Amino acid sequence: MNNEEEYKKLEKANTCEEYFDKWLEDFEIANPTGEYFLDPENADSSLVCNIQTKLEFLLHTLEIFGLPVDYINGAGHHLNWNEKAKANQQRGKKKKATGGGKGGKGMTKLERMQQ
Amino acid sequence: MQAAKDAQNKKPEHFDLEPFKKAFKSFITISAEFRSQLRTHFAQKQDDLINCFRDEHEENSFKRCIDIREIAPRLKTNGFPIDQQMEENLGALLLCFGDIAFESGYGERVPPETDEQRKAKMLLEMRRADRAKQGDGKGDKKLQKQLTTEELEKKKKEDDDWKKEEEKLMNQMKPDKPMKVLLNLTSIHDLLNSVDDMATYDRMLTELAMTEFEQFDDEDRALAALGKPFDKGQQLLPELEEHRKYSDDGQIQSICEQINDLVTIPDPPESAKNAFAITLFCMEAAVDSRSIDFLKYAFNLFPDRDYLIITQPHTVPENALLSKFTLVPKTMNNTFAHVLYLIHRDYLLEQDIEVTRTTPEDYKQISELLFSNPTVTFDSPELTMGMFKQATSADSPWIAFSARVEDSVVAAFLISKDVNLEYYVSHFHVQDQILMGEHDRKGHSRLVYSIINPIFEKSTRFLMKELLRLSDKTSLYFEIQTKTVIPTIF
Repeated sequence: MNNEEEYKKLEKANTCEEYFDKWLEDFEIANPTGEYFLDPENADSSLVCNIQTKLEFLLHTLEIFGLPVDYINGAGHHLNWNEKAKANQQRGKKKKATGGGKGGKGMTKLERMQQ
Repeated sequence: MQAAKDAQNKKPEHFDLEPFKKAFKSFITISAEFRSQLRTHFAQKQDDLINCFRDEHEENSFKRCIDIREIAPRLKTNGFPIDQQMEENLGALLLCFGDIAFESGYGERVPPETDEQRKAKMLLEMRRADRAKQGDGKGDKKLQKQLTTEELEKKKKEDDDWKKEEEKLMNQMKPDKPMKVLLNLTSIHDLLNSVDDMATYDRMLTELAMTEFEQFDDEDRALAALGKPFDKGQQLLPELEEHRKYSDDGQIQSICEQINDLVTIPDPPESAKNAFAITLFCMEAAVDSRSIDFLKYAFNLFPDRDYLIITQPHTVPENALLSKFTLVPKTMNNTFAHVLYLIHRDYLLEQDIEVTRTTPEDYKQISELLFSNPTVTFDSPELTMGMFKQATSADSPWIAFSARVEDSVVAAFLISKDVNLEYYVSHFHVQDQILMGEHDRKGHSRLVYSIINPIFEKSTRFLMKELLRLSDKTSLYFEIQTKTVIPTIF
């Protein structure tokens, strides 16, 4: 992504088209047809079939690694935004109060933690 | 200015790629090499791995007792070389690449440390270290002597303040009470299976050239040291021999070989036919009781056949002829509308049955009868045989009887000489069945064991009456226990 502005313009539709679909372009899932499973010749309890699309497969796999369920529809986006914004504000205020500088260089670690 | 500030603080509405990036990063860090290293560690320290699976009593368990997310911290505690990456992603790794089996269930767990608790913990550590530095002890006593009263008071106040602060921090860092949480419980067995599955997956990817990693040397060495080298490749199953032999009988074999479908029931060879059937039977009602007389002549017409069978709809009442036939029990999946009756040629000798006390000459035949019993595996025939042998001695608590047709033993019975009548009377409504006063105290007996050749099953009533007559008993009891096979005579 080129810059912050471009990132802020992202929506579900264009993200899927511009990014996910592009990333998965060369990836193929070979799904057998229903006929194969309806054929009694192939009756085998150990047979496993993936009926997910490429994107579903990717997202479902990443859900195991912490991606929020239903992420594609907005779940888990900008999580804890309000708290983060609040923390940012407080940090800004403190910087001002301590005369700015990089993290209040004059303070010890203990003092910073106590604050 | 304010509007701009508000806009800055407003929750953005654009698509957030951060969660995706975070999850994707975790996913790609678990490379094939990383997985191979993990398996190597597991193989090298399998005992420690087993020790991680402890139940709530801190005892090693093979049951599903720990949560998938708890495996990494436990391994770390047990001294496994686990870095932060592995600690964070081990559960996901086992789920994703090993398809680890688990069952969901609720269990009590202490909630994870909050930021506040972590902060308090760090503060306490730092304050303690600080104080340790300040109060560096050498010459402390000397110093104390030189301190003025004010200084001493000040120091005391400082100490008090520190104690209060320490207490406050201790309270803050105190872990929360355990609470019920949903756990994905797994066992050591599931873990090892999942590690095997993961290995198969990785090796297959290497074989298919879908991954660049192919350095399984360390893992192979560790597995070889463990005595469980990786089974390379799929082993072909031996080819199945076509089922060709159906019977030792040449005629049956040749008939079976000609069958090409599952519907045809071929005609059996003559040598296999051992029964003939009554297909039509008419009798004047007045002489119905004499219909048995025909049986002898019927068998004479078929000297090579042992059984005579007859089927009739289950709604038709039994006539006098059938009183000598044995009703064959139906199998569970039988949908045939008729009931089957059967009689063996030897049953024509029924009027010659003779019941006597068992003699040592009967042992062999009784033993054959016992061992031919289909329930023999549950009955322990050796024990029963021992009881029969003992019953022939005078001091035995049992009496044994044998029923013979000519010289063959067709039934054997074991009854007791006495019964615990008081027990029966106190525990069962015996009086509802018999008039106690009409029976002599010595007239009660218990049937301990009975075995009858099924051909003569129809004569059971006669045999029992003979038993009572010969033993001078008037009532017979039968005790049923949990595994008692209820004889057909009841």
